[in-house]
Amino acid sequence: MTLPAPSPSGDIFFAFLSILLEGAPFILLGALISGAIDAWLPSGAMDRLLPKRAFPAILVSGLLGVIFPVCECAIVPVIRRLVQKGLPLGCAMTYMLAAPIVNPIVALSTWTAFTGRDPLLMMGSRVGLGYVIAVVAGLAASRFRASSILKEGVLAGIAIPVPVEGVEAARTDHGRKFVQAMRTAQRDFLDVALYFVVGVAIASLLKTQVFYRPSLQEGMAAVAGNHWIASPVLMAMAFVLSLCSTTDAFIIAADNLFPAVAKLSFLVFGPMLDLKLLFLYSTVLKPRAVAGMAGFLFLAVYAAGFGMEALWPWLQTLTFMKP
Amino acid sequence: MSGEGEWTRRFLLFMELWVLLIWAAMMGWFYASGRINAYLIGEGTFRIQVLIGGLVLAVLGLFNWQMRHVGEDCGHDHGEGESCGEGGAHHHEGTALGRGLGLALLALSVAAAAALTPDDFSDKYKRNMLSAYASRSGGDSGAPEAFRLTPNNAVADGAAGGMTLAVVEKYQPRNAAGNFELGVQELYYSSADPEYAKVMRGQGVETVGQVVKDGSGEAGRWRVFVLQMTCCAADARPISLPVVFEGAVPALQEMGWYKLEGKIDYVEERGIAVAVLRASGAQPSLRPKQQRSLF
Repeated sequence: MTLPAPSPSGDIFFAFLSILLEGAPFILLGALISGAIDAWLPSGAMDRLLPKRAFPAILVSGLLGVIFPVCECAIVPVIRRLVQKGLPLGCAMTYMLAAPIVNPIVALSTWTAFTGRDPLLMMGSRVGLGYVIAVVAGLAASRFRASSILKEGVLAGIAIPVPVEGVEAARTDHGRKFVQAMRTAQRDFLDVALYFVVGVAIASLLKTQVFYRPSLQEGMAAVAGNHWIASPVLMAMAFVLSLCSTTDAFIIAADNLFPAVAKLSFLVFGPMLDLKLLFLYSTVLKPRAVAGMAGFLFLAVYAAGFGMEALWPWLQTLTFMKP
Repeated sequence: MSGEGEWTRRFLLFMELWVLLIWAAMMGWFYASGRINAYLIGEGTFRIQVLIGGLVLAVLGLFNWQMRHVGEDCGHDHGEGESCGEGGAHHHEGTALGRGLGLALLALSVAAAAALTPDDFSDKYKRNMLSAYASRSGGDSGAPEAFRLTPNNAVADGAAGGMTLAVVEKYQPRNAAGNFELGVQELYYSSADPEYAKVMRGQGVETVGQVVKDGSGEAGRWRVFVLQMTCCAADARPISLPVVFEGAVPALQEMGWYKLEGKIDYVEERGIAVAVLRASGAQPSLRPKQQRSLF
């Protein structure tokens, strides 16, 4: 088979397909889990699993990624379904933002990528900051009514708790439940895949046609030493490149121009918000809520970066930070 | 979606089936034909995930099509007297037309990308990436970085420890010409291990990669590079190695693929050891199809 010759438009298709082939199986996995949740998880079950009070429940939600390590592509369909099954909004937001960072696979990849460059400090800072920012975002989200944040389709699917005997009766009909799980998985996969495809297409276009232009790269290199600008520049880079959170540390660790704290901002911001996620979040949240969350995450990571900038030299001197 | 006709519902379900089958076919085809190697790394489970994902999508679509007559109750835990509405109204947003267009976009985007992708990046894009990474590693921003040939004392004086040439030969047999056939990134990363580097210094090696002129502009100085993926091609970054032709400089074409032959050496750049290929020859080569973490 003769392939088309490499070209600028071919670059877009090549990058597009590579991200799609990497991410599609994870979205499918998320959709299958979503289908199983839809069919077998009784509404209100999440209330019984999490602490009753909102604040401890949000704190626990931020750590669920340790037990259920899910990447950012797989988590969106799962969150959508869990919200419909009664997972409180604040907990859902916290889990959704924290899980791609606060999980053992990402921690290990960060450690490995930064070997020889304060790996424990970078890994701990990434996981710690990711957790704190996700919890703050969850607390903020919990103050809003679901109707002001969630999309109509998600709101309409929020289940009404039923008496226990009703749930038990439904549980016994496994054949019907299996069909339902498969049907929901298909619907969720297609719903989320549409937004994913649009996000990946835009990311591929920007990455191959804009990001590596010499003039842009020279501009980035020129501001790398400026602490006010370095972090937002790398956050913008994370947003455009739309990397998987298990991969991104390897990409940024090799960089010798930008300071460590700017790299930390890249590693915290990217898994919480990038181009493909912007569209994926739109399957759950209203556009205004997505915009608000994006603004909050940008400011929170930027501000946290300044705090870490002040603490970084001191943290580097701590002996337990040196493996 | 409420009020949606039965035929419209069936048609959309049929479209859903075809979207899933198109995606499944693309994923299965890329895996079976080996084209997946250009897109995802071999380490880990990324490639097999594509095959399994494709199979599951096909099964999902066919199962749901087969079960299309099974009751439309959504299966949710509704309260007494509650229902999902006609056709499970809360399952989808937007109109039937909108859903149809969305499904068409899903099918066409993947089909078009699969038909039009060259399985490689253009030379212009690779050059831009090479310059960008050279810039970020502290070199010139406008061109692949120039390099100096400062002897590296760490490698020269480093203790060889338990590493010997016999150990290297055990794991990496020499070819008929007596050279070690190593990838560009294997040579590149060899400088990070002083014991290994001390043993390898001066050994004959062969490597395959694309070549670009070095930023210094001096005759006989080139760089050989490959793109190394971490997970997928979109995250690939160039790994390059300085090449110095000690004798006659062959006529090399910029961005061409070559098999380079020479001796590996280690010099110092910005305080760290860097591998350099002191080349004695170059032959045009095809792009390797099966190599570790690169395309």
